[in-house]
Amino acid sequence: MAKAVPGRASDQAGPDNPGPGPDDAGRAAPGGRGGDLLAPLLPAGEPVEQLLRKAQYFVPGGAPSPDFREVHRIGGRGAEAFYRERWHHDKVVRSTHGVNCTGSCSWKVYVKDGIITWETQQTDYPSTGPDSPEYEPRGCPRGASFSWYTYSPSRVRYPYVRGELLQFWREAKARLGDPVRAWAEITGDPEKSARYKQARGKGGFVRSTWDEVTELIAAAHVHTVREYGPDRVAGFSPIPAMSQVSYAAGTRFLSLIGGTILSFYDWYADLPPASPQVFGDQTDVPESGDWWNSSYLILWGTNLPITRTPDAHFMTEARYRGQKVVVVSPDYSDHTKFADDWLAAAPGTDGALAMAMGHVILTEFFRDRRVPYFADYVRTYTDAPFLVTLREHGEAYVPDRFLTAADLGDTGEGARHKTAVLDAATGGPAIPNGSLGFRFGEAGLGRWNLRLGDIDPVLTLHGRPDGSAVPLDLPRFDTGATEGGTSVRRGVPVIRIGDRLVTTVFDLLMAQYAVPRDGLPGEWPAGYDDAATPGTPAWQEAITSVPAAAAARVAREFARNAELSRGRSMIAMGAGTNHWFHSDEIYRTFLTLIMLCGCQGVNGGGWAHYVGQEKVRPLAGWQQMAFALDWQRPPRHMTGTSFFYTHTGQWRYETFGPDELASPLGRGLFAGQTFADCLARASRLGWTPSHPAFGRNPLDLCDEAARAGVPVADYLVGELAGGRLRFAAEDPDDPANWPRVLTVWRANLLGSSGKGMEYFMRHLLGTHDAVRAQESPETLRPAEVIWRDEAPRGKLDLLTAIDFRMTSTCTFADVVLPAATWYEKHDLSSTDMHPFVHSFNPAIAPPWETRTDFDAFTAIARDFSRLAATHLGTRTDVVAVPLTHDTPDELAQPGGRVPDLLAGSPDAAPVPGVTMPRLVTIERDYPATAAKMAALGPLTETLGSSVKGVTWVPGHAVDYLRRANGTVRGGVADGRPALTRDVHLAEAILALSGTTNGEVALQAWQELEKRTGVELTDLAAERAGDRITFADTQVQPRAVITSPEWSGSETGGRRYSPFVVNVERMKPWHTLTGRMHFFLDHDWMAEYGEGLPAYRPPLDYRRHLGELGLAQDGRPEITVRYLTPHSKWSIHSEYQDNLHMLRLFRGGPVIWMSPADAAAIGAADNDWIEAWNRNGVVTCRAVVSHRMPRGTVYMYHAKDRHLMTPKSEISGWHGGSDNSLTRLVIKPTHLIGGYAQFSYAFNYYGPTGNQRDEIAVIRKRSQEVEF
Amino acid sequence: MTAGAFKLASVLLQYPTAAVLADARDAGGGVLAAEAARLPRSSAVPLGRFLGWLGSTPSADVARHYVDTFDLRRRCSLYLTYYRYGDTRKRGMAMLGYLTAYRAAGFEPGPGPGEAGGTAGGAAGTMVAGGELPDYLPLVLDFAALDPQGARLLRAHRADLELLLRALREARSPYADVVEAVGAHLPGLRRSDQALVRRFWESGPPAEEVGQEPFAPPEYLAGRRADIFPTEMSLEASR
Repeated sequence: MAKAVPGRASDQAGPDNPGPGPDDAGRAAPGGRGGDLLAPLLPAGEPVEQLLRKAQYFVPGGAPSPDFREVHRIGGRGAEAFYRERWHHDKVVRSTHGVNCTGSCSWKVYVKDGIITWETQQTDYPSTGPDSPEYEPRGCPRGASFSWYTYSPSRVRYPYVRGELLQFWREAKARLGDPVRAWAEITGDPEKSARYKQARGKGGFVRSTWDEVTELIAAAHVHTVREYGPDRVAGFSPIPAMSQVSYAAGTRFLSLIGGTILSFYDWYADLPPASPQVFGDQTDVPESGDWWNSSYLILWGTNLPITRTPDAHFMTEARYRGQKVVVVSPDYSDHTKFADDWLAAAPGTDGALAMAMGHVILTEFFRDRRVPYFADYVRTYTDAPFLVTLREHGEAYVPDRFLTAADLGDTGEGARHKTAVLDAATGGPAIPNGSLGFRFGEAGLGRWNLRLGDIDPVLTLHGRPDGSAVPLDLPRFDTGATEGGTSVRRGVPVIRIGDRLVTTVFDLLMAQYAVPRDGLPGEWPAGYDDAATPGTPAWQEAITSVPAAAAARVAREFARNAELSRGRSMIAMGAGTNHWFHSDEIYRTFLTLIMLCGCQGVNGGGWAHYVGQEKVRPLAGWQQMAFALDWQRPPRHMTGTSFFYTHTGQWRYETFGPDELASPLGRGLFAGQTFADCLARASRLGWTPSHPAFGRNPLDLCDEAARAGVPVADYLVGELAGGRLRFAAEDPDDPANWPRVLTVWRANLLGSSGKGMEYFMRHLLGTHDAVRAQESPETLRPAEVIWRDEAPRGKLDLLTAIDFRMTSTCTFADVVLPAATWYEKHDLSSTDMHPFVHSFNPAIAPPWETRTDFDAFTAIARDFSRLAATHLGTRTDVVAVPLTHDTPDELAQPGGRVPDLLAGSPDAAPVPGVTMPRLVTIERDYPATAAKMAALGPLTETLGSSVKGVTWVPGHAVDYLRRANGTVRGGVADGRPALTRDVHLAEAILALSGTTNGEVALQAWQELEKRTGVELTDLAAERAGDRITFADTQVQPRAVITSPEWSGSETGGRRYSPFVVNVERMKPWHTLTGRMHFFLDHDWMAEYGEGLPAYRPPLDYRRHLGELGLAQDGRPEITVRYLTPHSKWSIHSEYQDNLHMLRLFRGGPVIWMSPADAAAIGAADNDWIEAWNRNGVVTCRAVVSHRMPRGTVYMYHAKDRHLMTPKSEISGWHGGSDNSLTRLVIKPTHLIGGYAQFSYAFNYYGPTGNQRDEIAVIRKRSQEVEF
Repeated sequence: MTAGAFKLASVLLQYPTAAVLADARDAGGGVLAAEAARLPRSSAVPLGRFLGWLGSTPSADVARHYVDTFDLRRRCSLYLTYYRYGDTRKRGMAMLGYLTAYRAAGFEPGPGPGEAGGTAGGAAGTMVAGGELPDYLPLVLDFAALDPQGARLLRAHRADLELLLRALREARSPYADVVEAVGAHLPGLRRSDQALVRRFWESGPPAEEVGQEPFAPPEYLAGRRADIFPTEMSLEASR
């Protein structure tokens, strides 16, 4: 059967079918213009004569007789079957919705005659047991509309390349005969590269073929690796849990070639930095079924019915069980209507409310009355009893740092990381088990646990006969001329140990929370109604507008409930409180309530962080696959925010520096610095990753070292110390340091998460933009980072988007590859909302030219390997690895002191792995990339798997994979288990993880038992023989096995709650003290006054930016708090482009305003308005509603700008998306590393891409709009 | 005659190939032009106009125009069920209607895309030969050139064709000529077709109705009971 599918036809131009080749077409067209030599933009196609004479899509039916003289057709009444079988389907296939939703709902996809007709919810989740509501059915209207993407007319069906680029490419490749040289020539030609870069976002796509496009992409990769270095190649894809194979396909390729893998959780600002700070864990939260176990639930900044739709029923059901629901939300939102008590705190002031609640709890449950459960809990599981030294500051003291065994004269293993308490029995200091000093050394074996033994830690020094009291200065941020605020004088009880004055963390907390006790110096509130001093309910009322009595009542109820139920009080928190610049301080005030009331690690209690959080439950196996740890270690992980802040040029537009935020109680560490300087310093110190890493190609650096006959690390240190080499972060605008190639898959980077979108346009992409800001004035330019007067435009040579929707990212990409949808591939899904692992399965094969992400990257890797054989060969690469969490690197910089300061001169003689990143060389056999991708490498059997500091070798699991997947024959992977298909990868993920392979879980628990000396293996014993295979997940969602990959327990059918293992088995948290931390003692934390939880208001942009209004012709305008919450009618940008969802509300972008604000600018409901600030412009309709409080507007997040977005009066361009008004600001404390829980891991710690502190100006615009 | 017009339109409505373009540019008169010339005036004229454009426009521009028009603009979709069924669950059934027509004429669905040779893997063949959906206009036209049932199928979707034509005209696309030529071989729009065209032209494809029954009495939702809520709310609700 001859087909003439566009795009494939070129395959047919062979000897038998001499279709005109590219050049022929030009020649064969005498009528064509001379400039049209590049007719080759088109596929060759079948000869027209032939095309017109035969049926193209149809093959005559019926069975021919042997001599072909007759055709027999039997039947004829088949059409009737259509009516009889109307509700009959060929098959029902299990699949789910990937990437951007944490729901992870299993669905039934109905297929009839090869066409997907609809989907319904699966109802076969394993039961939660007799005492709880069930999970089934799960789903929401968004997921229910998904199948329509399959056949949507705007689906991406073919590979597209922008016409300009494709012309250059075909011409250069034909002339030079070599794809890599062709790419080098095009990107090396300033005129050509400017032309195709400026065309980004302006249409002009033509269809291409997979073969052509993958070769182009591969050539760009090969050229960039050779010319600039593998770390100049980057990839972005988020949220692996909800399609683990598709994520891993791309990152596995990038890991093998040494590309930079960008993080997403911190970049989305969904990562709560308070979690690493307090728990030493990224994010670990209860499954939604555990809400049922809670008897007091505060919904604080997370709109459960909207953003956790399939789970919200547990919240409503628990109300029938007597649960009280309190909602803290500035607007009358969808979850507010479930509230028994609604506290309408002003946006961004939640920290003040939580401080006042803490004040009430500490006063009533710790000072006036001692609750044994609470006291025992904080003594055992938190840092409250640990001793902190005080430092003199003026006439008073400030908290300094934890007292350690080293301070007491111990010089043994880990002494500087063993923290001390005061033992009530002996009256002297004691070192309890479980702190970091016990975690990695030989002597600590069996002692890394929370057992206090004979030690009876003293919680407070108040009233001790051997003690006294001193005045203590603490920061406050609600007053003062700068963001750094002022201070308040309080007092703490102290004792002297050696020459040090010490107090306990608990006593510091009492001072910070303004709880007066007899005999302490300082200013203290007269009572709850004293508004004059920070911490009281009356004080918060002035800030939040929540009545003082309501704040006190909720605090009292929360604690009393916890006391009676032993910890079953829960706070569900989310984007509303997390997307702020000071999110970490806001969250720490919440977590303080949780910890004081003994709620964490208890079913039905604790924190429940729900924004962008995810859980790759089979974590160990997934890490091996995704980062190719089976072949080489480590990958180049990079913090997304730092990368985009640097390379979209946002660092060039500052209006204040890091010093602005420093507390007056600090030491002036940031004087004269900028945020970019902080980033460069943190990179040099090995705190935070920095890729591209150095000012030269790492492959060349290794060659240079070889020529010099010096080990690579020594060579690099020499070059750095000699000033001949600098970190790329110190000169990000040097063309040698630009990222050159970026591949985005499973993501809408520009349309959804691109904070500072207009800066992306200007600097990263080099196309047109609506940035209205001026560059930083001379006084705010970096001290150490090089400022180039001419800012680069168009750093990226190639932006590739792989998607099934034509998103904003696709419209700005150079190459768009058509992806299979979630109903067209095999993959795995898990979430932290439920404890099951289930599968994606193809209901139909990928239609048109679409391919799965797995197949796309396999094709790219093949072409890459082929071109690498000539252009790259085997090279040595050096990776700068930041000091890493859950490894002995945590011990590198004890005491949280900044080494730079001690060294006298900046970075004098850096030591890799101590005062700078570790330098690890990796042999990269580039031509073998594809072969390695498609096989399980040997390191899994030698170095094994490491998760969160536990290492084991899953030998049997690898043997199983050998048999299940088959082995590779020949080549570099000869005899290794095959990973040639997506299901192989899924099988490997499941087999190598403890959560899905009981034997592995048991192995991992055994390892952890050795270190902790507590019993743990019984947690997995009941399922030690279980192995969940991919086939199992196709049959039914499968409940996971309790494994040290996570901190909770499903043993015996329990609902998952984080840190249950820590609490019940005395397993330490991964922090300095091994306990949950109220107090943080790093230099930079102290500088920012954030040693303790505190209320820090939103950034005061009104002051920093001055007047933003335009005041044209006296047109009324209003400056408002600009918030971008999640929408009811989309999951990020997914679904918002689908007619179902567009019609459930008004469709297209809108800004919600209060009637008062609308009246102020003369706008009525549904009028066209424009919002702007220095970052860009938004044009949309107004929704005027009493739901909104005055002074605050909402623009739902991630409405793609190509949908119903008219041209702006102000910029002349299409009014932007919600992120046109946002911009990144780096919080330096998010860069800290090398010290206990402040150590880097991917998506664990890093600066957040927060955006809620923004303000914008709004006015009504002309009601005549042009699209 | 009619079959020739349908076949020609089927070829021209697909992504342009170098061969088609070369033929259109053949100064001596290509096969396409000859084929068009044999048709009645009502279709020969618009097809001639289109071929003239095709023959005189740089290929890159033709390709971009095609992608912009048919790949990136819903209103010019070449998938005929989209106009009347939009993104609703009825669309799957409407597609099956086409498949049934093909089958009734003796054509079995062939292999789907990515399944060369027709060896369907885990997923069944999804499309008829050529890896396209059954309502893809070039495919329907190909069928119409082959079997008289095809013309009936087109007549039954006369309104959808008209909506495509209108959208192409509005976008000032030369492709409007091709669709016009197809229309010339079909009877004019019946009154019911005209009503459909009016309705969908104004409102766009329909929205899903399943699961959207009101939770309150209709008069409440329509805001007619002004006495039961304050003015602002009634404004909001009657939007």
